[in-house]
Amino acid sequence: MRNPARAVLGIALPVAAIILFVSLLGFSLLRLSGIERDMRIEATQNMLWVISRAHVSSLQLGEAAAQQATAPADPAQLQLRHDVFLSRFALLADGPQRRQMEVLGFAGALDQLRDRLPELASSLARLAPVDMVRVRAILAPYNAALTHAANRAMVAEWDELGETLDASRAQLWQIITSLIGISLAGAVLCGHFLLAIRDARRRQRLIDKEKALSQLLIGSSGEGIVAVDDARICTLWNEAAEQLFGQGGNQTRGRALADISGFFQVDSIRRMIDSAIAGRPAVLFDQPFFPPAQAPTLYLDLRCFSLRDGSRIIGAILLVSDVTSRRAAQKEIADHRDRLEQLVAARTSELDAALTREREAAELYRHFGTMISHQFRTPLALVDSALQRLMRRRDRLTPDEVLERGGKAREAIARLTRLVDSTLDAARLDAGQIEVRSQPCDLRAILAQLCADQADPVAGRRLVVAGGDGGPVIARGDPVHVENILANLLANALKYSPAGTPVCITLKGDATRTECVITNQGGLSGPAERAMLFERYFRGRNAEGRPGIGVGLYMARMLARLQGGDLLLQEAEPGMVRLALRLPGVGQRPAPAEAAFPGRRSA
Amino acid sequence: MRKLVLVGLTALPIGGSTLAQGLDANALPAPQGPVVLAVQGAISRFNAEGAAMFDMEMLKALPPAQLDTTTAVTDGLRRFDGFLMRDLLELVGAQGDTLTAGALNDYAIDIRIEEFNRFDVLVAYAMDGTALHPSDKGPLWIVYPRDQHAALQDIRYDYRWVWQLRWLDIR
Repeated sequence: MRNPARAVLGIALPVAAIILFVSLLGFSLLRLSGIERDMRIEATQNMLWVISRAHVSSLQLGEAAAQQATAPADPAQLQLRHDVFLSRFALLADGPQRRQMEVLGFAGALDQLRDRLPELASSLARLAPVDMVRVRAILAPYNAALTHAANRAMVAEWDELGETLDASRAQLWQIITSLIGISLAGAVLCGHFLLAIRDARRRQRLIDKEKALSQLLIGSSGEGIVAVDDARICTLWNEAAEQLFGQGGNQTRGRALADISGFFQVDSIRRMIDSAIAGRPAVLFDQPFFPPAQAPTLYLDLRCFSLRDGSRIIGAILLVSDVTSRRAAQKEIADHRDRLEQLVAARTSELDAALTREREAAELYRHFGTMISHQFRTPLALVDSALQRLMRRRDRLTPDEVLERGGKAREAIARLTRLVDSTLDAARLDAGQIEVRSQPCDLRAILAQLCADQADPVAGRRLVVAGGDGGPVIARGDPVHVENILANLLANALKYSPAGTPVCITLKGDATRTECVITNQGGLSGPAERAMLFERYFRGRNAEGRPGIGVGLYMARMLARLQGGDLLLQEAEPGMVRLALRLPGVGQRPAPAEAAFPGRRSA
Repeated sequence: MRKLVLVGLTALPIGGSTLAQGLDANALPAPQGPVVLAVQGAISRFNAEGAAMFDMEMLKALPPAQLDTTTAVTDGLRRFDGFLMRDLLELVGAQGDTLTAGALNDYAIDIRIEEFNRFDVLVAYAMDGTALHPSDKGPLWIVYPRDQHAALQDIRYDYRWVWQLRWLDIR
């Protein structure tokens, strides 16, 4: 309730006082101009003087006439008095004076005299005693009328003057009242203005306080605060900005922002300030700032807002915060995370490798177990049965029979020994104990020797060597190992292909690469078997009932890889198996041995 | 007596020079007809003993002037013919700052001469084309340009409208 009342007092009261002030002033001026108008005195108000002069001229004429009648002297004197008399009469009997005489009630006397003026003139001309009587008779009522007229004129003039004074007094009183009103209105206005001044001072003090507070806030702010006007002239530069940019407020205020630091000439920052001055606040993060004194680069976050005065934009304010340390901390955290990720990945892959090795080992032992159960049992059974026969028929046996049975037993034991040797070879290979001495070796010569060494002549005839020009095919490798590989491949081809079918051997090669492809009939049942072909202790289905421990192809491939080559199962026509041995040519440098063990890590 | 003689002695050369002027260029011609206006006092041109006498012909020889105005004592707008008072004063070589205007009925009023320079004050000999007569307000009437200057619409000027003007005394 208090505020509306104050608003009414604050606005309606001074407005009413001003209206009162103006209207009373107007009224006073109107009254004053009325008084001023009334203060003019018209000549017609001077009737008393006019009547008296007419009266005097009439009396003087009468006297002059009497003197002329008794002792005639200067006729011009009488003429003068007559002229003056006529002049005064004319004045009284004409114009405004006549009207005034009518008001006073003496028009009749004037008219009577006017009628007798010719008679008066003729009487004055003659001036016989009878004429003197006539002159007196004409002038006497005129003089009497003028006496009364003067009397009434005096009363009328005084009455009128009194009335004018009364009217003026009344008007003056109204003016005095108005002036009192004006004074009161003036006092109200003065009071209002004094209150308004007091309010204004109080507001000014509040504003000053707020200003001091904002200056304190700006000064103590950790953020750099910079204000510019719409011409980009710096108007505010707080302490934090001084520390950031290394320039004191006294050097910067009043200067163009672009002159203070090259930082403000950077395109993006200039555009940001322009945008704020155009009314759109803008933000920029992680802006690099290169301090002048070779100090490390700072990174700044900038926020820019418009400064407004009402709806008009008068400049922009720029808040600058130093995010260098925060940025460094974030970078450290990111680096740490990356390192952890790398560590976890390394550990994971190590664990994966360990798991794979474990699985491989488990698979290896399973194959090994299967192989042992099959391959060791048969020779052991042979030895056992040979020994049982020897024991059962110990009396009837001839020495030849004993030799034969003992020989079979020994043969079986030799097979067992070979199996154990093969197993050991594989183990040595795994342990990296195989030595490789690479040198040029002729594959054709090695193959020819192997064919010639075949114990079974039937089998020997099945081997067909083709390809090339019959000349030597020189590969870089260890001749012992190459011979082992080829012997193993040929034995396999002969063992697992139907009797009487040819085993085709193709040789080719150049300075960089040599290849020996061996193709035989026979089949591998399905892709699983093809995939497992080079695994240790794996034996194909067609290996059932045939001696072997399943390390031949594994060792052949490992040895080929040790020499920088490889052993591959190639696609072949249906019912055919094709294996290709690849070795480097003589122009090729020996491959590192490690390549043979892709599954192993040096760590 | 001694004092009078002294005054007379000192006045002699001045009187002599005035006389000398009066004899030649500064002498006014003598009036031929009846005298209607006598100017006396501090003037430098004479045609009589210490005075300048004018008949109507001499006055009409002054530069004529005309004025349309109302008056305080008549109705309606009136046209006056006559001459400017300042022309007359120049003609007689008036040197004072005040003049007294006297009428046939012995009415006498003091007027400051400076007024005639400020206002075109007329000495009229005709109203509405008719010559002013001594039995009315003639033969001469001092007329102020009342309608042309609001300041003249005042009773203190109204009493200076001397009619039946007969003489002027310049001091």
